[in-house]
Amino acid sequence: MRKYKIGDSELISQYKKGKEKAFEVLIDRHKNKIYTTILLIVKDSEIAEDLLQETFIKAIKTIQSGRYNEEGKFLPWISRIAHNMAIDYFRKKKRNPTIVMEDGSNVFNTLAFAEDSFESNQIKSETHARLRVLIQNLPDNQREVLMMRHYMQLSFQEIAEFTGVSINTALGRMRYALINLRKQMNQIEKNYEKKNQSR
Amino acid sequence: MKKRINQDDLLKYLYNEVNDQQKKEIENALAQNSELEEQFFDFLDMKKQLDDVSKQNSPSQTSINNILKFSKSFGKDKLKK
Repeated sequence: MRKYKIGDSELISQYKKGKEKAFEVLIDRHKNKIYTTILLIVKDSEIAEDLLQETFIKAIKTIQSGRYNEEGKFLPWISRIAHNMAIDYFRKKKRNPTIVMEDGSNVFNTLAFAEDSFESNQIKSETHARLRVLIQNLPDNQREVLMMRHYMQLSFQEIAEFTGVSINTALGRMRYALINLRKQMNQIEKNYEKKNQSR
Repeated sequence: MKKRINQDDLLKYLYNEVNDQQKKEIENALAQNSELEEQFFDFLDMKKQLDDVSKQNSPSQTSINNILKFSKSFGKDKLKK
């Protein structure tokens, strides 16, 4: 596990004292995971960008008004805000904008990925795009646990409490999610190889 | 009697949710059971790919600047009060 020199709780303490730089470090440290959490729910990068800003604004208000009391667990806390914002977005809009292309591409508004994609290996990018689609297509309860454990960094026990199931059920859902993704990724690779061989 | 290590134990190990004793037991089991080891590496590989997905997903600098701008102005307002 990656270790940081200054812990999140220390950065929050400094931020409360007016050191903006501390908050900048926090954002930089966690922005990708929070953004991914939102993106995997709303499936649109522009909306995800808006909700990311709203998430951090809510966090700023909570921290600066002295109502933040989950010291040392900043990422799970802010990820829950992000998760709730993304779910609320759907409740308000009452629509499901999933558009999955056959090859798994163009699912998202890709503007936000453009900077990285130029530098990335194309095959790797395609693999990640496919994986994002597969995550979105997982059964709801499996996707929920996977996102909470992997991107929001809640423990399996916390997920069990949060979703009202036993820890064994939470573990089982995560297990099925990983096995499902693995199987489907393998299948995609096989199909890709077959396609190339028949050319 | 020793507890048989199953896939759920592997998941907890993968996500660093085991104590030192459990860690030792799981590592011993992995060393002795190639099928279990294979399952673990499958999980590990998927975990790595999931990490890569989030590394690739990065919000725009404009969004980050907006957040920082809001933070600064909120801090100033707080000081005025």
